[in-house]
Amino acid sequence: MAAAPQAPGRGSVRKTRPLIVKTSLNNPYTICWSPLEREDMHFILQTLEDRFKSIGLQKIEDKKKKKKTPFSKKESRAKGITDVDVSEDMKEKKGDAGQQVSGWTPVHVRKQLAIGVNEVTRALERSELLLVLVCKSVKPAVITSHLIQLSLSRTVPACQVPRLSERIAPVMGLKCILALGFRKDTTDFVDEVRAIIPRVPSLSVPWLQDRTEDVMENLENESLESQDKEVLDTSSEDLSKHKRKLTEGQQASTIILQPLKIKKLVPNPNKIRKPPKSKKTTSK
Amino acid sequence: MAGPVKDREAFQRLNFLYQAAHCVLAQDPENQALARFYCHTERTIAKRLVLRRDPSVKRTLCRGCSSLLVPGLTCTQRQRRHRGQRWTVQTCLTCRRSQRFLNDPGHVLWGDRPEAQLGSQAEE
Repeated sequence: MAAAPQAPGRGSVRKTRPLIVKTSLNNPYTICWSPLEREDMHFILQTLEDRFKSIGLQKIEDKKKKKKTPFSKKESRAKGITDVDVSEDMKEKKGDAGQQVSGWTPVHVRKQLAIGVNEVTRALERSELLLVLVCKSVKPAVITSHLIQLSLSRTVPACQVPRLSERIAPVMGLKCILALGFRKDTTDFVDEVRAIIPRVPSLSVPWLQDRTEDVMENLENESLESQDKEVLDTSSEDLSKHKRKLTEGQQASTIILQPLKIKKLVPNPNKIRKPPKSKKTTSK
Repeated sequence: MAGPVKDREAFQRLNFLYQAAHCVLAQDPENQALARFYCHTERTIAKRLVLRRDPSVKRTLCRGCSSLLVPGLTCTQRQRRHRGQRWTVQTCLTCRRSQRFLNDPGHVLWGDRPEAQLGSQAEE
């Protein structure tokens, strides 16, 4: 653990400290997406792209935003409708390929989708989504996609390779898409959703998924046990009941306790520290 | 630091409490008081013995009320812009306390970097 320290006899050479190793409690759960196969990924991307192109779902933004450009550069993904409306009022006529309507082309189609992380989150909290697709090329990945996986108790998400954003964003006219969700009342995308859902691998979380499975098993076992109770005698019934309860209890509580994970860290040598106050000069 | 002899038991306690809080919430989503109690105990232990916890563990606990944060159940998480930068804001629903994380593509936590690892172990 400690590297070879200097001999403590020499008082002047005290600068090199022994190497301190800090142990910290690591998270026992590693929450990660399940890997998606390449063929499935290609298939999903292809179907989505074709579908969007056939519908013609497009977002047309006004290109001239003089006063709004410092904000529009740093805007997050699927925004710009409000800005577009405002800029439309300010500058009325342009020659943008003859399309004066800005915003989304088929509005009713847009209402069936949830585009953007915040919108998908909100829809998931209200349990309105059938399918969720997430782009994988998020740089601080844990921060952005973390919540979608923890809302998995409701729907069937998927994990995509970066190309989700690269492929579908230009089709729709957006800069980038990180999350996409299909609402439950979608009429245009039912076929796609049905085709994609069996291809999506199932997610698993160690503490949540086991519990739901064990609850199902527990219910089945209990119904069987109640039927068998009437058949057996009283004395043996008590024994068997206790035995069965014990075994069931063991089965039900096989939520595997994750082993303790400890992380050992070397402190950062470049850590910015305040210079320590020398207390020797000030004495009370 | 000496070998993790005394601390190992404390770490096991912390570990067990953390997982128990998760299981409680998985089993009964309404009963958040128990999960909060477990996490409060965990925080007290770590404070008293000055134990270090991984940021991934600390981010799932609320600092105000020390309840276990589960996005969608106990907390909300949104992407917001503030002063031209994008933050992920996590808001606890019980005490309404929010935490902000900056979405910087180049930022890596010190604990995640390979140079900091001295061989992290999984112990029983």
